[in-house]
Amino acid sequence: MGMLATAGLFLPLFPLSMVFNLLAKKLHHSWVRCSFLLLWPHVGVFLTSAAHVKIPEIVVVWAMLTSSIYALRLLTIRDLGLWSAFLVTSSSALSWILLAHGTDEPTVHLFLVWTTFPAGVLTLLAEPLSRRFGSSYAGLHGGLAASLPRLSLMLVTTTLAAIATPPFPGFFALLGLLRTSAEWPVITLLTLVWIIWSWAAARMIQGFLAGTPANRVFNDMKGAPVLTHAITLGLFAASGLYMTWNAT
Amino acid sequence: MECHMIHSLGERLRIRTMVHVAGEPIPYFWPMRTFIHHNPLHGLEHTSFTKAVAEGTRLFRARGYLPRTTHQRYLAKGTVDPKALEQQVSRFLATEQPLADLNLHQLLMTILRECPQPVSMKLTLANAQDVHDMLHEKALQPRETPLTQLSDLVKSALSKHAPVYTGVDSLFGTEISSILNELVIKSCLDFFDEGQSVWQMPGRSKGLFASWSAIARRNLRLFIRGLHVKQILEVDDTPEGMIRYVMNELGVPEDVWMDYFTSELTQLHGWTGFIRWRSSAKHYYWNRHYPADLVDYLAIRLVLGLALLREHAQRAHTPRSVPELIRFVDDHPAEAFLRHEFHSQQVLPELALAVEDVLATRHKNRIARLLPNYLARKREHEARSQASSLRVLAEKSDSALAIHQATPADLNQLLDLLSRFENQEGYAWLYAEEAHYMDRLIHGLNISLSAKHEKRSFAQVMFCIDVRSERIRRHLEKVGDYQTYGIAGFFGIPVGFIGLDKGSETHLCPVVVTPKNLVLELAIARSTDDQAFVSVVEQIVHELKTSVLSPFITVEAIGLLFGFDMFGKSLAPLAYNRWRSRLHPDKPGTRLLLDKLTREQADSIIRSLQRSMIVKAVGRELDIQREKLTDDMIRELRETALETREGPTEFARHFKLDSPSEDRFIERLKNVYRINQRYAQIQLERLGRIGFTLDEQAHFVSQALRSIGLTEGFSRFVLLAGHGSTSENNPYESALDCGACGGNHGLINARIIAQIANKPAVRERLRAQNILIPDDTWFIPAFHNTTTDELRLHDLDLLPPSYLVYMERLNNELQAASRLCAVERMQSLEPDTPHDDPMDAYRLARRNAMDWSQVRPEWGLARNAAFVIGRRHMTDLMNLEGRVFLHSYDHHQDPRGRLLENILAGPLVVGQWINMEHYFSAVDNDHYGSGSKAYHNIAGRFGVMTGNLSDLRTGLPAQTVLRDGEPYHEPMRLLTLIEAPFPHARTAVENVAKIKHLVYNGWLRMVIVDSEQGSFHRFEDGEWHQYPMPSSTPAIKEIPA
Repeated sequence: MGMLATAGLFLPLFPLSMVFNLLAKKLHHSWVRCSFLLLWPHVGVFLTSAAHVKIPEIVVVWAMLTSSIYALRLLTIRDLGLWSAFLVTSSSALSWILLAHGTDEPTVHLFLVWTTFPAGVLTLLAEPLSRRFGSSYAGLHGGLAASLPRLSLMLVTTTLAAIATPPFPGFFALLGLLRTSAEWPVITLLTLVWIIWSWAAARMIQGFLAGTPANRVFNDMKGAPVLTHAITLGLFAASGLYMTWNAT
Repeated sequence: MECHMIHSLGERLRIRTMVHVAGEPIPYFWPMRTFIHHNPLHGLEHTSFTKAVAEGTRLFRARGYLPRTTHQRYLAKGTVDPKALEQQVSRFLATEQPLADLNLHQLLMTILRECPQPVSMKLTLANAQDVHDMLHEKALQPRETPLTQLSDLVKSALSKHAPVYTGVDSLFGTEISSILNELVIKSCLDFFDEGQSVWQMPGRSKGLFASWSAIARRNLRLFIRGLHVKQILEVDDTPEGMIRYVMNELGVPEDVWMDYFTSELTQLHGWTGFIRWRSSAKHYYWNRHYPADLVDYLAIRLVLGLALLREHAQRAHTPRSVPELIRFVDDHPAEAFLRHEFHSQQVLPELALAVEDVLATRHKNRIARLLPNYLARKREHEARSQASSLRVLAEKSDSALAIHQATPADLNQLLDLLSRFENQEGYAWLYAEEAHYMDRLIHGLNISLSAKHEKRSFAQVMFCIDVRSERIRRHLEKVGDYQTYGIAGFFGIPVGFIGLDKGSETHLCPVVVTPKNLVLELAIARSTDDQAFVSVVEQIVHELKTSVLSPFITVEAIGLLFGFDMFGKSLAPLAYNRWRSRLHPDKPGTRLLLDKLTREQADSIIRSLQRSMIVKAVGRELDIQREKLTDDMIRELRETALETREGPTEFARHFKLDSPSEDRFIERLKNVYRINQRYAQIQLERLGRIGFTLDEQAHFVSQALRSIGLTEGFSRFVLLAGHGSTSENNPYESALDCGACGGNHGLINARIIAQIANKPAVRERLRAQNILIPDDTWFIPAFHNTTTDELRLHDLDLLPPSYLVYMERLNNELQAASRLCAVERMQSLEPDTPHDDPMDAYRLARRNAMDWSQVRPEWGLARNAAFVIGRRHMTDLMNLEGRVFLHSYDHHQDPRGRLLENILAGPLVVGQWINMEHYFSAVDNDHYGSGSKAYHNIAGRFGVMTGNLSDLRTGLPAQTVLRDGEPYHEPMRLLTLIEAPFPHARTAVENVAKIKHLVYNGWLRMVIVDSEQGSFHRFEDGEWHQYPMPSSTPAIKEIPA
């Protein structure tokens, strides 16, 4: 059980999740923070597998509550970096459902990749925003859709991927999770969490894209990073579709 | 509960007066059915243009000039006069002290020409010494900011006139303003609805406040939100009492109530403007039945605002009054400062998260720990940003050394100067753009004497002064032997009009005029069956769409038909609408009732109406059919009801009515069926308004002809072209119609004046006034459709047969002019697509008028820039690009200047309203304009909102004044050019108080051209300056002015 409790630190369960978020907040370098967000939950999966114990029902309930709490918290967060960390907390907590249903370890790892990877990319996008505006804080500098259309496009597509909209793999991963759980309370709560993610994402995007652009002129993203980003998201979506197709 | 009821009438009147005065800076908003162009700062026209713009910025949070980057583009394009710009800079510097070794003129010109962003910044924590240190790359000296300075900063940011909740919002991020606006808008939509909703708000006839408060007391939604409105409303029944109670509760000192009211009313200035207009429109049906005024509206806002403040105070411990707000700032200066920084979006971005965290906990120690760090970094940030923009300016203006050597005191002075200059620079740009346009226009004028026409021209055409007439006039003059004239589109006849099958009166004249005469439209012959069938079908479909359950069935049953309609309108709008119009029966031929009724005729009409009313009453009240009544019985009943006879009636005897029953019936005739002396008098007065006396008819025609200088040399045809527009799915359609006709089509006025001018009796009277209209001259009304460029002749059935031989030529030439005009206009609508073929361009123009997805069917009056009052000869060789209002005027016909005064008092005022509406909608479309049409929704059938809930959008939509987000309309004040001897024109200007104020306060630019002296006078800096006319006047100026 000790192993399981430790796993709760990595596959965040409230209040142990606070450690994860505190660390994410302290890490200022975007690549380091991105790597941290992407790798940390996988440690939890390793630990639960190594523990070889059946996940108690209560842990699933606990995980669902954790996911819901962080989804709701997303509605009020305006810092993009922190928002990404909270989204990772909310989504990776859901892997407990898979683990409780005895899903094999690679599939759980894959679930984590599909649901957390775009959030990691979002933390990278916080960096160009901070460079231009001093921080990646929604609502302080609106009107990006008009003043920085390329960066805005990157922000929107990555956010859509992060909240598991089709055709990004997160969508199919969550559909798979719904099918695996097959219990009405879980399905209902999971659907609610999913809706709240979308709501929070809309608020976040609105804080950056809508409004009157600042008086100052900022340079938009250059072609190479935009292309790299597009290829990355394209490959991500394509690999998700490919693996989903193979799995079915 | 303490009783706060106001018993004194004087106190009530005092509050009413305060509210009405407080609302004066907010312009009227007319219902969109008759869109009236107006100056959004009309209420501030008593002050100078520059001051009014600054006040508008304060009141409406709107920009008064275009941003610098747009002006810089204009400068690069060559539409700004660089000399005039330099002159404005010199003028600004004339009162300034020299500063170190700096070349201030060069510095300011560099800002205008090369700096896209403002150079001066608002420094709250940093000072000139800090900027100096930053310029010299020194570390800032540590400095402690006293807490009192922080509280002062916060208090100065919280305006003492602004509503309390805006202060609470800016400190606590509570969003009370938006919640309050939402609640108020919903209440307004319920009350002011003009038939859009199927279910009406109950009790509306009691007035806005009374009906709203009756519902609000029982409003469950408000109660669930925790708003105890009922508790507040119990204090007083009257809106005035409520206003006083709330203001006392909020602790607002009484001496600032008026400013506070203004601030409250400007929160939703569209709704306020509508209510202001509505309460002043005594003839307006909806106002007569459902009265409302600003006092009601303000009372509702204040009650809801207080309820929201109390609810937040209870839940989140926020201040609920002015004293509490001030106390909070004084007691917690550090927290208040950080709160204000965070919630007013001024927080230092890199510390935003930290500030948010600290404010969430409200922990004093954490705030105290963060504050010094925040203050230091904010101060450094301000100093660094300011130093950086100064450095850029220094490099661009070759002043690097001088700025580097400047002392902190010099820098302080420089920053102050830059800040003041950048606040005023908008006017400098505007002036320079106007100078450029003025120069081009004056250079293009042809001031030579016009040669007398040797032969009679084929036709003379009177067009509205509207800028859109200029294009078609130019083309018409080119394709045939035509003389054109410009006159206000109501042709000088202010008239109330009751159209065929219409129950209400439309005023066909500028809104500043109230018409005395009324004209009725009567059908010659009609098939009522066809009309009834189509009406019934349309009515049924409408009912099906709007009731509660039927839409579900309607979609299943006839949804496909709507799909057909949609595809037709979208894919082939021209052909589909042509086919669809065949379903409607043609409008029957009509005549206008223009002549005054004699007293006998009027009496006879009233008698006849009363008799039919008696027959109706007898049938309804006593179930007695007409065939049982004799003529004498009806006469007797009528006379008894009118009290011209006494005693029992034959009717009562015949039908055995006892005396009380007879008395009751007579009373009902008097009160319910309105057969009484008083109502008969009212009817007589109304009938008295119909038509014109012969003297009036001759006077109106004479005045119209004299005002344009047409008193001799009449052609065989004199066309009177009223104008209007046609478009689909366009709430702004009436904005494209004739402003001089109160936002309606101008055809009726054209028909009226043509019908009058063709009367032999009128011509005889005109002959006595030396206006000799030959017997073979015929006045024909025409309609100029500004969306399609079509010119269609009307009332041709009245044309004598001898004229018919000329009709083919006339029609051909009108059509040719229309097509050429379409080529020019389509090019301006779609500059990237060539439109060389007149037929194609004409077809495209007609398609635009039918296409329901077309957000810009025409440019309307966009780019209007000048108003020329003078002979057409002066401008007939110029291509004015549809930017100039052209009013024909010959001062020789007007020795006393009265006609010129009329032109200035009517058409010019309308032109100025149009110009200012376009100006402000172009400079700040979000605030003074109405934003994009794509998001508009109709509100209550009288206005539009953005999205499903917003303030009523005033002004013009983005599609009317902007292209691709940049101004298509180049905002300039209207340049008015009068061709007349200087003393003559100046006297006229001085005699029209309104125009005099507009000119002296800088709302209009005015030039008087004296052709005979070869000079012109320009009004500038409070006086007239004389200049010689430019010597070289090229023969043909195809280059636009």
